[in-house]
Amino acid sequence: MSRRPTFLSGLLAVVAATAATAAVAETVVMAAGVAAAGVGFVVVVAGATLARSRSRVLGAVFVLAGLGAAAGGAAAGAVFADDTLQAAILAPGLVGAFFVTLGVAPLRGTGSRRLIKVASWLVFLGPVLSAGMKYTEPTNIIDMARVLGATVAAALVWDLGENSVSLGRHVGRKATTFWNETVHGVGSVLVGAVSAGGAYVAFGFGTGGQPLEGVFFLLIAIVLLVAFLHS
Amino acid sequence: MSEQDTDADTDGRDSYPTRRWRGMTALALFAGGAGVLADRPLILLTAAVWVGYSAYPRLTGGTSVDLTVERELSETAPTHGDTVEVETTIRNEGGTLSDLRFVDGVPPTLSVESGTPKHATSLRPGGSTTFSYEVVAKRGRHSFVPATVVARNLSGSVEVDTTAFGETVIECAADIDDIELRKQASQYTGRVLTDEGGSGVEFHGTREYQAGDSISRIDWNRRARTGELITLEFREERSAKVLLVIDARPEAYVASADDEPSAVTYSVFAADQLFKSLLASRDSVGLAVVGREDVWLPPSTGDEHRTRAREILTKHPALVPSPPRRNPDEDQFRRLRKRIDSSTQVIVLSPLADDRMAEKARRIDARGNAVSVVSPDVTTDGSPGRELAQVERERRLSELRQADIPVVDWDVEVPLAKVLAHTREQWSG
Repeated sequence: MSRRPTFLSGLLAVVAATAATAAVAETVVMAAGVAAAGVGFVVVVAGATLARSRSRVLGAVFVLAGLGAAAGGAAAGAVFADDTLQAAILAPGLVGAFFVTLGVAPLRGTGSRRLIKVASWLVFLGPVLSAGMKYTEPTNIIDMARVLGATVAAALVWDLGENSVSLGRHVGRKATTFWNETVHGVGSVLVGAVSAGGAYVAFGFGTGGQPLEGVFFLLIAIVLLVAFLHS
Repeated sequence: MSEQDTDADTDGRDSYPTRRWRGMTALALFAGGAGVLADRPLILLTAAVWVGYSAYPRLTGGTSVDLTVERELSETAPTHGDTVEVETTIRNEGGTLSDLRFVDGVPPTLSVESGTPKHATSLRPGGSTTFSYEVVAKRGRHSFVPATVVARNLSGSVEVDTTAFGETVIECAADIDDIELRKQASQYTGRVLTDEGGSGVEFHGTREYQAGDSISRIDWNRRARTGELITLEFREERSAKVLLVIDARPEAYVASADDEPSAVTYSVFAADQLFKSLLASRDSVGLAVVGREDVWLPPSTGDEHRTRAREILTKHPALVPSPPRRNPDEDQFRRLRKRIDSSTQVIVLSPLADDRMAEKARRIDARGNAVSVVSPDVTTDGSPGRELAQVERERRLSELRQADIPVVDWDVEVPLAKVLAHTREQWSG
């Protein structure tokens, strides 16, 4: 059985989940905590790979160490949070990162698309909650970049994770898949970058005095147009 | 050292949406709605990203696959047990393939020793990629089967399943040298011993001399003793006209496990071996397939005929590794029966996974064409259903034997030649 999720995309999906969560952390200390947890998850994936290919024992040690680091990082983030609300913003993202780790780590079966999808939704909540905390009408560019970046990363969690699972099921993890994964990943990052950039520019020129509802209906119109144009 | 030439199966046969971007529109609306309700422009802004991702699959069109496959073997004629390195090169003859997944068509009868016959990459038009793996050669002739190709467009929203064929053969000292045939024979000299007296090797009887008998067949000892003029008769040896019928109906696509080759693959392999050995013994051989479509190659002899048969066995769509959707109509059997002339004997290759083929075999036999059956056994035990299938198949085998139809029960783990040698005694016709 080597039809397990491929390494590169799987790992990047985990990195995307933690990066998205770290990006919306309020303080540097909390971001560091999330990053530490992310390193832990990466170690878990590496450990599971090691357990499959080389040594079970060494792999298990890595997995346990990774889980420890993840728990420690999450705990540190919670402890150093200024208030519980700040910690609450990060919680779904961290759970999401854990889920995507389970979804792509070559532990059992052929990976789980469902776990990855749920993970993507959880990570999606991070930037939404974080953006909800900020009233600022003329939002500063750093906040915007963080929120938009985290949103793109949430989409990448699903995209890269799913690609890792489906590639694994088709060709297994022993096959060379580097260019396939790279081209696919670059495509998705570009789409995210263009949409986020477009949103930023549109917002930058200002919705001006227009009510938010107007923008929202415009958005729905775009969604419907896109949905029906080609179907 | 190299075996190449190829052409690819290019019709993007099964193209379907993967729906992997399905939830994105919902997320866009959710974020948009939340942004408006909470009066937070920044949340609304994130919705734009999701709109982008929901549009992404629609911006990337479909994908079509046009590949050529070439393989280079470290050894084209290895000996049994040798490791052969296969270097497969895939060339993209069509448009950009951003996401290509390729599973090479390793001969189902060979196993991969190191490396993997699977590969995933991205190819620009005219681009190519090469990968290699090692297989262990086994006795016999092993043709590569069509490779499985899955291609997705850049966003992965459309997936195309197809195959690509590149002809490559690993040939390793042939194995079947002899298959016992039943008595039905043509008028040509060959190796089927008939019950008719004439010229031959094996003694048959004696009769009174008739004008025109060869003087070499006169029993001169007897003439010296008694003065009688007696002609010795030997059993005539004639060649046979044999039709191989491969069962490739959906029911025949049974396998012992998901990633194991189906019975049809084994039948095709056996047909190839039998075809070769029968031609070598100057019998005329034909080929017919019951399955996705009619395949009919009337019995004949010669190298050209052999090449045609090989083309069918390796490339014909009726024999691809995946089962057809529809059952063949009754007409297919009727057409087949019409085509078989009275002097042809028939070897049916079927896993006997249902009653139909066994019944057809009996009916053809009853019409006067001698029928034999070679049945690859892919049944396993382990669950009640599987055991039932096993018992059912046993029943069909014994029913055929009761109808005096010789059956070779071929355990696919064992080389076919060995099985044939073993059953030869029972095949005395």
